This record gives sequence, structure tokens and C-alpha cells, in this order.
Amino acid sequence: MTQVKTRSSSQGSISLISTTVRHPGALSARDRTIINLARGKLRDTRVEFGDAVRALREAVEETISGGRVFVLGSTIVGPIVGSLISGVGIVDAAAGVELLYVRSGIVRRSLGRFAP
Amino acid sequence: MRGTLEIDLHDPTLTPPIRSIIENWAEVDWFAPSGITDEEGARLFREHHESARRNAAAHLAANVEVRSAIGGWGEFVTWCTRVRRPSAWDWKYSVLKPMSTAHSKALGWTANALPQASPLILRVGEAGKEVVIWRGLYPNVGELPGEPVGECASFYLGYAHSDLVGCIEWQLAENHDDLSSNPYVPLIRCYGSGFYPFCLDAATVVMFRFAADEDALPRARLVSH
Repeated sequence: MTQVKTRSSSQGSISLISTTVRHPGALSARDRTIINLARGKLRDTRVEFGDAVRALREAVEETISGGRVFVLGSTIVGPIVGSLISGVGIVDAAAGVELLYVRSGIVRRSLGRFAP
Repeated sequence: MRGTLEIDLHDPTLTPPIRSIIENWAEVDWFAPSGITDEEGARLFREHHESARRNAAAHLAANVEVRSAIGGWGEFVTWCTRVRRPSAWDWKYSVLKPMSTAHSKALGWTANALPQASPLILRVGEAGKEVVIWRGLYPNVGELPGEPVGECASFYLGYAHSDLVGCIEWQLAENHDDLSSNPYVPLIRCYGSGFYPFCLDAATVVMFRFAADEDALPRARLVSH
């Protein structure tokens, strides 16, 4: 279980069961393209969060001219980094780097694993 | 409603023009009725358009048709839906984002140039292999109303926020205090004046503003949670 505390302090903390909740329909075609491209840049079985962020940023820049990634919020272990437009971001979790859907600074749901 | 921002405007690494841009952004009263006329709103957009054309002439028409629209959340959702269709021309991806990147590249500026302690960025990863990420200044306006209003409002805030980052990056790359040639500054003023541009193509923009009629604009739903 990943304990997530968002930037919105009034929201307190939210618990997510990262391995069982999946909503692939929340990903747009652009999101899927970027995520697949970023995953292709990661070949190690164990990926450090910094490497995942670098791969995601490169994938965004290669897919979108002028594309940027942002800090969408934070968890007890570190930041959520991703797109402010789509709200899809990644976070370092105990079981590996995880995909989340964040809106208005609040984690709405887990979208499964980003990297092992 | 004014969003809360997670930044200390007194941070010593913020230069006066950057502080000024962020202050104007913080003052935006999101989704509130405008306090200026349609003509003044149109003038602000034309100011942006002319400035942007000086930097991205190939992507923007010489003359832009500015249309006015007024309404409540229903109309706002309709305009958001229209510009988000997969076949629609995308103003941000077609013009504004590439323009910002091209400008920074031409001036040799990257976010790596920001001070280590800058509140605008976060450095992720091991020392020596750090990745610099924009923290962003997304306005936290609290819990937005139910769908599709909340999702559309969130979409628009995200797109407007990309203009803010473009504005900041432009000025950092310019490395001077004069904001007059920054094409994103008039856009931030549009938002601050209660006008929400929806660009339909390179030559047509709809300047939407919320009606002052409280029945048409259920603001109470936005602030109650």
C-alpha cells in the first residue's frame, strides 16, 4: 500500500492499493505514446526514480514540441512528476515506480505500474 | 476564486520581473465575471497575438478574428469540448509551447541555469545525474464541481498554467527586467481580466467570459466543499 499525501494539506492523506486498482481508460492516446516511449528507455529490472523521471521527461520532449513535466504533488517518499494537462504522473513507491492520476493536486487513482 | 500557490514570493532567488509575473498570476480570480469590456478583452488578446507573431509568424495568421462569447459553466464546457476534439487545432501544442522552447533554445537557456535553491524547480535523482523538473504554480482552487465542469475547469487551468511557465521561461531566457516584449504577459492579463481565450484556428479566437448573473454561474458550488 502506498500512502500518498497530496500538496493540498486540507485533503490530508489518501491510501491507494497500487497493485489492484487500474483504470487504463484514463490514459489518452498521447499519454500512452509518452509512457510507452519512456518505458522503452528503461531497460534495467530495477529502475531508480530519477532514471524514470529522466525517461519520462525525454519522452515528453520528444513527443511534444515544448512539452514539459511538472511536480504534480508529493507523497511521503517524494514527488509526483508528470503532466499538468492530463494529470498523469509517476511516483516512487515501495513496489517500484507507479503511475497515478492527479487532478487539482489530489491523487484520484492509481493507474498501475510505470516501471518494475 | 483565487488559487493558492505554493511559493514564497520573497524568495531571494526570484528576480523582480519573475516576481511580478507570479504576483499577477496569483491575483487571477478564476472563473469570475470580467470587470472589463469585450473590446478591452479583445485588445489584450490582439496585443498577445501581435507579440507572438513577431516570434512565430509561420504559425499564426497576420490578422486574428476575435469573437466574444458570454455564458455560464454550460457554455464554458461546450467551448472546452470543442477545442479538445482530436481533430481540433491545438493552440498550445501548435504555437505557444514550441514558441517558448524555440526562444529558450535560441538564447541558450535551460532550467539547469536556475539557482540550486530556486523555488521554481525541483532536482530529482542522484547528485551529478540530477533531472531538473518545474515545480509549477498550478492554482489550487479547491475542489471543483462535478463532471464535466470540474474536468473542463481543470483542463483550462492546466493549459493556462502552461502559459505562465512559458511566460516565466521567456523572461528568464531574456535575462532582463523589461516585460514589454514577452508575448505571454498579455495572456496572463487576459486571465486576470476574466477572459478565457479559445483559439479555433490560427486566425480565430473566441474570448469567453462568465456572465455576472449568479444563476448562470453557480460559483457557490465551487467554493463549498
